[in-house]
Amino acid sequence: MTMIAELIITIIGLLAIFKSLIMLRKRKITLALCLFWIVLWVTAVFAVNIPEVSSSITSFFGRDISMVLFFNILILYYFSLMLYLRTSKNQDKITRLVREIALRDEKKK
Amino acid sequence: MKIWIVIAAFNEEKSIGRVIDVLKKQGYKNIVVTDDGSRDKTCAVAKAHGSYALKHCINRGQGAALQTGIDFALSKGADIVVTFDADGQHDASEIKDMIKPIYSGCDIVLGSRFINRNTKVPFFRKLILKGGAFICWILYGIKLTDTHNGFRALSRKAAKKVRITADRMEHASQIIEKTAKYRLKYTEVPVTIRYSDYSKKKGQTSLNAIKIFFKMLVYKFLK
Repeated sequence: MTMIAELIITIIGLLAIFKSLIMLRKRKITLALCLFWIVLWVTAVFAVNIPEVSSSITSFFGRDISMVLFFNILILYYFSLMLYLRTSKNQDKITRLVREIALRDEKKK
Repeated sequence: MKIWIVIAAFNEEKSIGRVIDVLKKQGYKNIVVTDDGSRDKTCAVAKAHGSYALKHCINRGQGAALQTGIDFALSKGADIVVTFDADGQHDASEIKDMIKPIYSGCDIVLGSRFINRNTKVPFFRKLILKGGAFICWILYGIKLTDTHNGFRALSRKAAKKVRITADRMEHASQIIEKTAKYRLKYTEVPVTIRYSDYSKKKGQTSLNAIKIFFKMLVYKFLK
């Protein structure tokens, strides 16, 4: 991996860790999710900077690095799905609110 | 029995007045129009023609608008709720045929454009609608000829049980799903759909079918 790519991933990783700590402090995310993000990004930062880490991850899975990528994609899919469900829950809430306003306005007349 | 007509309308100022007038001529006095965040004067026109008019401050979709109207009708003591389109596609004189089965114990009556041969359905639309009916059969185990017809009649019991949470067009499938879930007695009644240039323009695009199918799967397996 080139030096620039390593540097970019390291910076993004550190920013992501910093951001998740801020979000935890503001109670926008749970401690479990914060820890998950930190472990994920610390691993990513170490993996790009220290080749031994990525090779130990590879040996942990017993196959090549594509296995790690595969799991990453799965995790991303999981988060997309969670986001979709959360958005649709919010949509439901908006609809209920709009309905309540409409019915209340009619009652007032 | 108190019969309430529920109409969901979005930017229908051109047709809503005429639809209300026809309904009134047929003797239906309890009409509620949910203006689903229209940018035109739908709400004012509906009121001027003597119906109740509820206003969604933002657009939430036909399913959401119908549920608002149904909630209102139920709060006014409706015994039968009829859902009716705002674009003049449905024939008000057929309401009496739609509500007849409810008097004999049926919970939900679904209008079908395919039982009546008078309705000429454009080929591509027919293909999509038949596909939708097939998918409903597979997913919910209810075999119907027409699943996405906005002309329906619900008993008070059915109107209370079938709460529409699918805001957009997928509400039609959700009604079928809940009919199966709560084991409601249902039947299909032939209705005429008038396809005018206006109603075609206002109606569903066939491409929306894919979106509806996706949402049906979400509602079936994830909610």
